[in-house]
Amino acid sequence: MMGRIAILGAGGFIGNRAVEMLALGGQYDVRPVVRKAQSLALASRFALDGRVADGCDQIALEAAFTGCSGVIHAMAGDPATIIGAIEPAYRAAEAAGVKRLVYLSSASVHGQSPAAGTDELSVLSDRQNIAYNNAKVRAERRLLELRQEGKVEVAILRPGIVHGPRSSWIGGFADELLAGEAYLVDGGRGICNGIYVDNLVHAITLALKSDAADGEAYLLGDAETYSWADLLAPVAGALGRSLDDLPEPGMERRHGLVSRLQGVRPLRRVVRSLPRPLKAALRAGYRELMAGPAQAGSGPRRPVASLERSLLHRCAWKLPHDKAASELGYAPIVDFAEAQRRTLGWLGFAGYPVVS
Amino acid sequence: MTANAANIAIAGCGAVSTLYYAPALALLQQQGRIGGVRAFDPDMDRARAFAGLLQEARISPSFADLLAAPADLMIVASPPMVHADQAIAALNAGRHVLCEKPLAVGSAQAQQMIDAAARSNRRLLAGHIRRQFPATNAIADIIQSGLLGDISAVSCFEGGPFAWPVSGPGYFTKAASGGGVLQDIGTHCLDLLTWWLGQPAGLSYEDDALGGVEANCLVRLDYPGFEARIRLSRDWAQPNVYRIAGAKGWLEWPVNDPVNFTLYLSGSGIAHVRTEAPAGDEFHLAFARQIEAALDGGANAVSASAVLPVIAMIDACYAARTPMHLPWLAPDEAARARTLAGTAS
Repeated sequence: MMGRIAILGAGGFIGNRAVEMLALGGQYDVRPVVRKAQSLALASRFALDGRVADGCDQIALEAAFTGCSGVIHAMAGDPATIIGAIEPAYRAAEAAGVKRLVYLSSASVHGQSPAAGTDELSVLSDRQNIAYNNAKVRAERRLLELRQEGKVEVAILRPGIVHGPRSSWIGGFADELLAGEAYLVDGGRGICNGIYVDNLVHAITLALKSDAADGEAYLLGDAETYSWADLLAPVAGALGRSLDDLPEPGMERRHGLVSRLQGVRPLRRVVRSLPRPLKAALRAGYRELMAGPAQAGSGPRRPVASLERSLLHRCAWKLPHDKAASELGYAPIVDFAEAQRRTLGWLGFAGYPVVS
Repeated sequence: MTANAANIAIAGCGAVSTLYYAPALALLQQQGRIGGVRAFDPDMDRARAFAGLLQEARISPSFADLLAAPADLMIVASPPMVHADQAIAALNAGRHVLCEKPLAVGSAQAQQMIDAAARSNRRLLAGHIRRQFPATNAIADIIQSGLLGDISAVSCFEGGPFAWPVSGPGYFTKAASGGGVLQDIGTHCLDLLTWWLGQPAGLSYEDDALGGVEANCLVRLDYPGFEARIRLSRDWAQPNVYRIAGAKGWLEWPVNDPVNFTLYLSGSGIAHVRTEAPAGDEFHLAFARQIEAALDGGANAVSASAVLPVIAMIDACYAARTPMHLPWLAPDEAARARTLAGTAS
């Protein structure tokens, strides 16, 4: 046994699989930590000492981390939560005597469609078009600042699209297919910087114990280079569908004037103070301005691609994980074909109408 | 308030009490059907929060105090493991008892409760709320009338990511709850199926417990000529539909819909049926009907003895459990899972 590990965000997709792999691996004593008790439903398949602590509540986190040598920070949330859950977790880990905290950031810190040559040395921006990316950049920065003044070692992992059983990229796509709402931008020919969830959890275990990992960030991915269509075609096939039948979506319009004004911090109060009718008029006028000519015909409406997916599905750069390979000893433990076999097995388990 | 307004005691002020019993009791207070409500919970904050939802409610500092206070009916809505003790104490004190599901953890406990009710000549009723729905009653009538012909297949898919606001991690233990998803929503499902279809000739059961309590399970009930397949989950959203197919048609009930279901009869096409029900929040009305039935011994009250076979089926499931195949596990994980599955109590 290599010590007790707290998994913060154990009720989420990655946290849950981390609980499962570590508990079944038998090398660690696993302590799931969740914000609400009901999120322990899956972890409670095991006889584990689950704890309830809000990710922003330092005192509760300290109690949850006490006795743990490591913390896996796999908490999801909106941008404010992503940033707000950094300092309490770090300080709680320090007060609890935790040696190392592994933080699950995201390859999205480099954007959804990173430029050729992007790697861990690339400069990060917190002024991207997608709030999630900015939050992860700021969370990483804050964590490294805390490391400068604190004792808890920190390793930052930047996985790409984490796929596998219970992944929203898989289950969500299956749901969209069944609802007739699925789409791929440019046929999904862009590179999917994916990582099978087991490979990510394997990397987490390496980051927990590697001497080189302290204060470092690592991009992580599968060994193979594959497209979004490669990832999702088997899902469609399992449900008796074909990617060839998916519509080419329209593109998401730019944000409306009011929400763009609200995005500018000093103007938020001004926007809030606008009379409601004026705000409505601004919104309506801007919609009209941006709408362009009406769509002809009365056929089915085309789906509209989100900005995030438009960028993802057009990605042309396979993010490297050479640094993780050389410093952590990371090598994927599940190849892409096996990852897909297991994922499709889960689709059937979860109750999707899988055709044999 | 009318002169014959009943007094209610309630033990346990957790989610089911605050979300469902409190609105139902408030409704009955408005109607003058009940008078005072006295509540007890070991967590006084929860008891106070519950009492705050009602016009006239008092708090008991202990279960003994609750038991000593005058009441016509005690609602037991505590965690399942204390149902038997509290219900038997209330019956012995001369109260009628409406006990939330699961009535008891295991047939032995349930029988003790039934015996206590018989000895004290009090009513012991089970809180199987789905039996109060107009839709489930209509379905029972349709099946029992033979309208669907000989039943050929039954499937029940129910569940989703677990979101019930439980009070703490202890809920997810066999010691507190008697099991996982089977004990929780399986109790409802098996009760409805045995009400509609009668007792199965046999069953098989598998779940995903790995030393703890199950989040997923699959129950197969053997009936003459068909199988009822029940898939329950606290994990991933399920279709949440019960489908009963027969030689002459089929029906589908969206889980927990008090009034709606879909009926197809050969030659007649599909009918989306909305059963007649009083206006308002049908779910809260169903709880109110359940309380009234418990007070009056009404025909739609579900007696403890009526759910005894369901409790025995759950016992049989756990006794016969086999591990579910978890197809995403690596071979070494699967081997370890088989070992841990054998340790699930």
